[in-house]
Amino acid sequence: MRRPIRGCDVPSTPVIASLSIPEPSNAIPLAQGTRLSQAARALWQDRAARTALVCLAALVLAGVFAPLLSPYHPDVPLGINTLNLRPPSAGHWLGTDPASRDVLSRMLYGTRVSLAIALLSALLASCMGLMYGGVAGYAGGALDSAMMRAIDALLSIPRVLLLITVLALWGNVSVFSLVLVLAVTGWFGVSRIARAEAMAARTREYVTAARALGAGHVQTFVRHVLPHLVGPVLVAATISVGQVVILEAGLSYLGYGVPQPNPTWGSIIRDGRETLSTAWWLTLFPGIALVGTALAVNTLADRLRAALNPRQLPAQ
Amino acid sequence: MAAFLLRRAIQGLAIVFTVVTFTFVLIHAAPGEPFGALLEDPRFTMAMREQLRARYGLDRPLPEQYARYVAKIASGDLDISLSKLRPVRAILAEALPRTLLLMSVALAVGFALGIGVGALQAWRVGSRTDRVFVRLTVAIAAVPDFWLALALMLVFAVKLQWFPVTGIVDDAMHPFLSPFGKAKDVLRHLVLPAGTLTILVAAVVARHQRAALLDVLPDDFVRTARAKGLSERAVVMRHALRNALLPTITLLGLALPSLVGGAVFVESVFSWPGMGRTALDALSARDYPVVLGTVLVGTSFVVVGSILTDLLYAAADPRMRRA
Amino acid sequence: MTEPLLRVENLRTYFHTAAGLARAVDGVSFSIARGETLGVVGESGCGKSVTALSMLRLVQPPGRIEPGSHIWFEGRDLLSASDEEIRRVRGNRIAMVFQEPMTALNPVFTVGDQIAEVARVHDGASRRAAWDRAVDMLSLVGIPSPRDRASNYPHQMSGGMRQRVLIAMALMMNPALIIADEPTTALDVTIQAQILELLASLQQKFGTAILLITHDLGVVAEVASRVIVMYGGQVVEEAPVRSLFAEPGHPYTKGLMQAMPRVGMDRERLVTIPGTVPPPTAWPSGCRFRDRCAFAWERCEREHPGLQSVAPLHTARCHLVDSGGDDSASSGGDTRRRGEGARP
Repeated sequence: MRRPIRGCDVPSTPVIASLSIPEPSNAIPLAQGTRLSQAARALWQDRAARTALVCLAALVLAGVFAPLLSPYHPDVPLGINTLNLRPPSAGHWLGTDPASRDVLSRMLYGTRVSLAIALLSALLASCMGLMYGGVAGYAGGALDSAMMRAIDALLSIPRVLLLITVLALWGNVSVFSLVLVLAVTGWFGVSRIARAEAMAARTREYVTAARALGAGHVQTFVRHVLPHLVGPVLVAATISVGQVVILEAGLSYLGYGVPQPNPTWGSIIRDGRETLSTAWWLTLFPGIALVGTALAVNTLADRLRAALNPRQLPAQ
Repeated sequence: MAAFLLRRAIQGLAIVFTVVTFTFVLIHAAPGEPFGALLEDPRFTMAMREQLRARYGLDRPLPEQYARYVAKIASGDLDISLSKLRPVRAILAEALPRTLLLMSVALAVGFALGIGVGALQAWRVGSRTDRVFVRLTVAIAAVPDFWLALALMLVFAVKLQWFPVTGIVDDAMHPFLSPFGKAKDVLRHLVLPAGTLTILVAAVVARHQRAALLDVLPDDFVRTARAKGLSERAVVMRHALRNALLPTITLLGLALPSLVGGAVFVESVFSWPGMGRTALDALSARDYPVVLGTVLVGTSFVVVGSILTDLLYAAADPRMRRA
Repeated sequence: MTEPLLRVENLRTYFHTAAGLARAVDGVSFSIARGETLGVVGESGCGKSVTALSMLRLVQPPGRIEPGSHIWFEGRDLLSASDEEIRRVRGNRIAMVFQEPMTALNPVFTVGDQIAEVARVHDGASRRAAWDRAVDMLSLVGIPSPRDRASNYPHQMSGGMRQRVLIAMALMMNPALIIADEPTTALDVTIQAQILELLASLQQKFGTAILLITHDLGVVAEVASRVIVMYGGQVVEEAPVRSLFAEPGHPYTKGLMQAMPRVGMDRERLVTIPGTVPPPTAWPSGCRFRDRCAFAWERCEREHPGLQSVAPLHTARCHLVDSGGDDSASSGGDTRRRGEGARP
């Protein structure tokens, strides 16, 4: 009797970063191409989604073109004592940090790192969750049961604690291993969503028809079940990006994220930790970037979910 | 009821067991010899190393190591902390109540606030109040917890000086206070960290509750209540909300793991000596036993919490009671 | 002639939707006398449920009762009463019994609580007193071991029992009128009979008037003293029950009667009325039934029929019944009626 809440947003901060389980989409099984492209079109027409997409695109571009856009080098101190902790000014739009580095440049390069980590790990986690959950849902029976019990157990571990454990045991942290670690600790929720969709798809007639026509399991799964998982998993992946950006920022803030001197938004805040009350710009600007990214991503995910399920009422 | 509890308890144990196995796998999958670092660690005395070697059976085949590991944890032994040289169990026994205090306040106040705001929004859906709160809750849900903690600390502790900046008690004064004074001291220190979590919880709960109540309002029994001549307020708040609380109770169970995680960051910012802070300190000190201990304790807490949530749900929904 | 208990005058309830203006109830008038049972018959989509909801102003946006409608009850127009006043009428002077006993009761409260609530709200009764009254009501509607049953939750009861609970709830304040919206549709036939019997006996006992909405002519034949037939958001026939069955005036009514399967019928296929109910956003011009009527002719498309007299107290909205002026002579040309069917 526990009804999942249709159209309810999924929270994005690590505090309540649980994914509520949506109902499997009961839209008519159109050819996948048309459904996704229809959703994309609907999304583009929605003003909020458009704004979110534009903002995210701007951020990505800022990161990609960071070398061209940033006035200074992000890692090189500009003057040992004379230029540290300067508030925003004409020469330094976002001020400087305790090591006399230009914050704007660090922010731009940090965008690269933060977004890349988030996008890559969300992608990786979604693929893992998609396959695991898809297979479990398609297989059904005892295999599904066992696989999902494992997921239940893993979901019970607070993600941050799991991250800390892995970081403690593995020791070295490079950007690459951070992506890996974030992905490996974050695919459980996606797998549940994929499983629900796979189970729903499995009982549909076109799957039975395909099997009756002699298609093997793998072929049936790939051609008839997998396409239906893409939509909901895409929504989950989008939300996941926001969650990971914030998680990575938190880890970097604590000093366990990306190693120095690579700038990320979290580490800039960390640099401003000692001088919180005086050097407000070190905390404010990365914070705005974080909140902005999370807002854009959440809005996008919400609209995407609504676009994929036209019968659902939007959460607004 | 007893059968239900038993079943859930067994499920919970199965989960904890799975997690224990998982940590074992992690330990052995990590680079270096399992517990190798433990053994090479210069902080350990010769005697302790021998003890460890024997206890873990490090020269034994893997399945036996696994069995010993499980037995050890089942007996409540969580090893010795490398950095503090105290039993991990004792360290966590001190830290856990502090985290529980933080989290229970955040949950209680956050849910109460969130339910109230969400219900109000649904009742007055489309109104200015509703629209304002929608924007507000969406915005808050996008704020990182550590950043909100920093912001609140900056405004209320540093600038306004209404509350202390860090810690759980005022170390200098605390021993000399009366019991009542001690409690007050802790409460003063509790406000900002708990407040941070409360705000984040409330925002999420409000959105969830709003959607849940809007989902229930078109139902037939709501129309029956209206046809009985009840005021609109009684229809929404007594009949509809009571049903719309059920999904929110489910949310409580789902939110627990994330809340524990959020507490880690908040504890770090405010130097609140709870489990999260302990885990972080252990991380920087490479104190694996403590880290592993927090994972196990944290997971057990989540499991217990979700069983309690199920009980609460059964209490709230008469249809579940027979099951 | 005594003043009727309820008099509905030109009720129009429109739904202002994105897809257009849906004229669900489009000029309905009728009255109910004290203690009388009025049956309202029609297919789904004819507006009978919306009519019922409009009585108590339970229509939710985007539905709206249009100005120019009146519902006279106990000396005042319910449509111009304040919110407070209409709440005092609901459940108290006019009570409703809904269609789906499964979903009409709140699943998280006991049935006793839900029935007692009516007394608490309208009479200010104490919890104890209201509960006792609720138990009495349960016994009155024929539920065995009422005191135990009162502590049951809706999911612990069968459909028939739930419907009895709804009836008990409606009767709590001894209302002057009960509006029963398809009270037996969701129930088995045997239970149906029991519920109808219950309604009839309660009506005898308390002198309550009943507005009984149904699509089932059989139910109407059993319980009602007068009937109105609705189609296309309007009343298309109104008659005392005997007169209706003896001499149905409107082709739609005739169609409904023919469609009723009867014991001893010697047919292989059931008769149906061809076509479907048009959407309320686009009622046909002229007579709304003409697309499905075997007797329609060009006047039916051109001119919306008014209510014509068939027999004493029996009217029908049909040009066929129009005894004043033979149209076929005045228009000339091809105005012959289609189909055979001599006038009834």
